[in-house]
Amino acid sequence: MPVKAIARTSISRNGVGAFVSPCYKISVNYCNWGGSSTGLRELLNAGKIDKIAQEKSNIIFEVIKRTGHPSLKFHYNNDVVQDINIANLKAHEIVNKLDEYSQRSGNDLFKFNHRVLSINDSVRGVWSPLHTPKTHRHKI
Amino acid sequence: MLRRSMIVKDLARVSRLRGLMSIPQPRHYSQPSKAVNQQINLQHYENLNQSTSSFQAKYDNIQDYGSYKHNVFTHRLPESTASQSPPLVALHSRLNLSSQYSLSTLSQALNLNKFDDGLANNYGLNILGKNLLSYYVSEYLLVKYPRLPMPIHNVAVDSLMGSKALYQIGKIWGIEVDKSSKLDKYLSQESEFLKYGKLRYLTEERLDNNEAESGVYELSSEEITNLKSNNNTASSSSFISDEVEAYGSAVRAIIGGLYTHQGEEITKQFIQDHILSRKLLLENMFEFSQPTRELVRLCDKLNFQDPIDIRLIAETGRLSSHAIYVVGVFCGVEKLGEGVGSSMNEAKTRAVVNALMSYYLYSPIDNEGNEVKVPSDKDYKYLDGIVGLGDVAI
Amino acid sequence: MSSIRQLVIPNRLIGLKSGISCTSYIPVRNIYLHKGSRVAGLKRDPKEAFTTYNGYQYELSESNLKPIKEFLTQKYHISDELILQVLTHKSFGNGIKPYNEKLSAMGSKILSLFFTKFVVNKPSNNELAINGKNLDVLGSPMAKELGGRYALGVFAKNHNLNSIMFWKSSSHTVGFLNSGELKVSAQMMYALIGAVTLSHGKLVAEEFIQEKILNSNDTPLEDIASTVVESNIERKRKQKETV
Repeated sequence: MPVKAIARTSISRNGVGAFVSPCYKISVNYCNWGGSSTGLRELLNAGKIDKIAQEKSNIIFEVIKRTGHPSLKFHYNNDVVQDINIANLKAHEIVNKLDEYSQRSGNDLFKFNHRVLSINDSVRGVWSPLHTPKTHRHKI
Repeated sequence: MLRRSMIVKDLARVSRLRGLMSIPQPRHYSQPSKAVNQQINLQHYENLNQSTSSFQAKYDNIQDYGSYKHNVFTHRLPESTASQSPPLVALHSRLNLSSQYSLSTLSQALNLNKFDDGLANNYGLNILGKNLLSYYVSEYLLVKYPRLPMPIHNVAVDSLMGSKALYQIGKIWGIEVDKSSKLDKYLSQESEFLKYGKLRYLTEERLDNNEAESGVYELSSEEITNLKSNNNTASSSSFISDEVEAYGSAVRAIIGGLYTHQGEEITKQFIQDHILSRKLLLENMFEFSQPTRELVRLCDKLNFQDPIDIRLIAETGRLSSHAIYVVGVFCGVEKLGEGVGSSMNEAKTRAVVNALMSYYLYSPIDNEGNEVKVPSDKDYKYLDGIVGLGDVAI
Repeated sequence: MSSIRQLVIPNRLIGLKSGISCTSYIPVRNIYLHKGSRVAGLKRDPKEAFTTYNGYQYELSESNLKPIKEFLTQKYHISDELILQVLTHKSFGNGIKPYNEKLSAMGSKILSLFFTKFVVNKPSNNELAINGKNLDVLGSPMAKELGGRYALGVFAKNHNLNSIMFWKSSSHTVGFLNSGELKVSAQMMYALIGAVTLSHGKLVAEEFIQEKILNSNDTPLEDIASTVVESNIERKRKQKETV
């Protein structure tokens, strides 16, 4: 065989074809007794969480009764689970948290100070000093 | 019908019940170890025997395809039950499936168990999906890269629709594995609907034995044989675990289900969106052993009249420790490829490989300069150069 | 036994900036083309190297293409070069001529997809059918064999499509199955279907499979496949009995 093959798995490009939201499951942990869950209990009693779950139908909502401070657990499809403490937060603040984290990718935030971030090759190529006429070439 | 996408659990109760586990209770669930397990084991042994003897559909007449029937399956999941499963409803919505795609089919696609109280599994859906996938993926690669050598083509197909790629896709879709045994489900009072939206491939026997450390699990008998056969071929990296295989099967089955409910056009679109949209690393798949001989042979095959020439285009620092040479491969007056290297030999090899790659990775365009259409597209037209001529032998 | 030929390499014209063209030297080489058994290092006479074991010369001639052309009819017509490529196997002439590997990859995929759809869409009263499609038939030996290598190889032989094929076996005399003729014939059939697909598109190719291969007048593919499968089942049963 003249040429052999090296197995490589293709790389996902979410959004190039279809977009699948990276957050697939949210666990809502609340306590039925503690004061820090007041805001969350308010949401649950008013049926707001139900409504949010219907709006975000592509995410599984799991409501768990548990003692201790309330928290939101966001499960992302890169195997990351982010545990957000929502102790003593007001109802609207919890809704904001839900909105914010359900739209994240699960990757850590980082400062974007690159000119280009891409998995594709440069369209233009790399400049080469040797591809100029001989008279213009840099000589050592 | 009300579709539930919410699960409500009471964890305190679960832990209370877990605590009870150690205290002997009159019910046989409290002493789960020996008696029950043995019973299950025996049952599974018999079942396994059945499976090895034949998992074959029975038929009236060999050519009467409507009469084929698997006797191990008695029913499909009722739609009303399926719609009560939050993970299933969420998955349906995540994949943007239309309401024509029934939730029971989606649930069936996630079931790999042969013996789950007669519930139909994804065996047929998987094969259907595999055939659809392999047609559309091969068609895309054959037309887009007609000159890919066959080994590379096969690996490229695998890189798009092999188990590892489909495992990643299944993960991205948020499919979870059902890892709790019947006993766990009973103790945690898990809703029975929950499992219908999860990937079910572990037998009850293996579910009972998954008490080991996290990250450590016992290989199944198939995995062990798989591992052994891989060791012989000295490529243990190609080992595929049951989990990866199961995800692949589920993703294929979901695609198969799409065909049964919504037809081929929609399925094609789905495959394009989810699978062909992935980035192929074709440039990294080549491994040349004798590139120069291969190029000479290739030019021979293409009936090029002039011999292959290798010429120095530019150089700098020949007498320094960091010399750079630019070398070109020519056939007559045509430059086939170019390479840069720190020695003439390196530059020459790079140039030859560059020439070969630019031949193999050629992608045709139509007369208007657009990307070429595939045969399943509506107004497809034959173009010269769309048919690969085959690789060369050295 | 051997011949000496003079090969004149055509003049190469090199355009200069001034517009004057000058001819380079005219090399005259004597090349010995070897006939008979292979000798390492000697170039073989193409006339002999590109002739099949049963004496067909590799060329674009009417007689070579006739069986395929008649089978295809005008409706599914493909270009002559493509037919020659369909007929050429990788083993012929050390793979130096265009051969049918890529075409057969296309053909085998469209064929298995076609037969999957074909068996699934048959009317059924199986209560496990999904949306009227009986998936239980998939994975059965019959469904596998329909687009299988054996059935297609036999089909090619029955229709005399494999009478002229450009291929080479280590031993051509050991019969249809053992010489690999079955495999090569099947691959030629796949390539034929692939060539029709690439020339006319998927829809026409499916019509082609339906009309020419499935509903063929003498020994349609289904019958070949079912005999193969049934004889296999019979053989396995007998093996069990003897054990």
